[in-house]
Amino acid sequence: MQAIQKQPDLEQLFKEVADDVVRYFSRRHGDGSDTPQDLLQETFLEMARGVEKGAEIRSLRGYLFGIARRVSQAAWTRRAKERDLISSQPSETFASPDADHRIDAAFEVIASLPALQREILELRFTQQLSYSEIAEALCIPIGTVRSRLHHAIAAVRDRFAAEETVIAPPHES
Amino acid sequence: MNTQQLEALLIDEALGELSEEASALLSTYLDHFPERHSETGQIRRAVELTQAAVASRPLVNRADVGSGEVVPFRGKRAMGGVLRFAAIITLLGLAVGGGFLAGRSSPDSSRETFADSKADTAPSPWARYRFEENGRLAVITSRDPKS
Repeated sequence: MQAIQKQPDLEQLFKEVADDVVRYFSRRHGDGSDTPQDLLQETFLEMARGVEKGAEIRSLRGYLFGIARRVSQAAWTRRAKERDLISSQPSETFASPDADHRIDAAFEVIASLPALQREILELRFTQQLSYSEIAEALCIPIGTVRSRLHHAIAAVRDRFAAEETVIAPPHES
Repeated sequence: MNTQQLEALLIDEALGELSEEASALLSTYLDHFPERHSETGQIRRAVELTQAAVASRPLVNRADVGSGEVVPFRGKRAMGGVLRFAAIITLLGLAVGGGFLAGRSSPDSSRETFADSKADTAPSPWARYRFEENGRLAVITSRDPKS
């Protein structure tokens, strides 16, 4: 583990996670303003610089997605400066037309959560990062990752629990 | 086990964050308390729905960059640097202030100290710090004492 941390094989890592990182950028930059492949290269370049400088890496995937997040934010900022405005409109959606209304309702609940909490959900459910990897990526304590995930899932559960209570007749005993 | 504890364990299990031993204990517990199966079902459905909702469309967009909610990258490291610099400045201030007060209370002490420092060949801990031409405080490491 220590050897991996001190001298990560970037080529091997690239082979393993390049598709995941491209998917991550595609979701965030789906409007075509930035090429996911370019952002991927930028991410790995930044990672190589960090490794050269002796950055402390606890988890390669967590560290990598932390860089990818920063690269993504920098790209948004760059684009906003170019256009001289930051759009408040959400990005183009990938939802299929026949999406389950329950998924839409769950999405509504999730979309109302703070940005950091949504980022945690995204890293967990689209990249399958563990609690510790998300903590590394976002530079936050692992307990915060866990509590924010639990809170989000509980919020979705509460939404449907209320719905089920309305639909289901009270059980008489 | 109360509802919150059960809920937390079920979520951790659904997210693959529970150890095998803990998962086995949880399933044994649920076998003994079938009345809690409805809660279990609700949590598992909520996890599945959350996963499906997150996968359905992007959750984070460029508007979030300006919201101030996004934690800055390497914030911890940057804050560490600021704190370290503040600590150095505080220590410098204490050293200067302490020296001033000691000198005021004993007029001859500075001469004695000077004589002592000449006799003592060990470098002062403050020898590690020097101001550069641009006014920044530099820390001289033992590996590169001349820089």
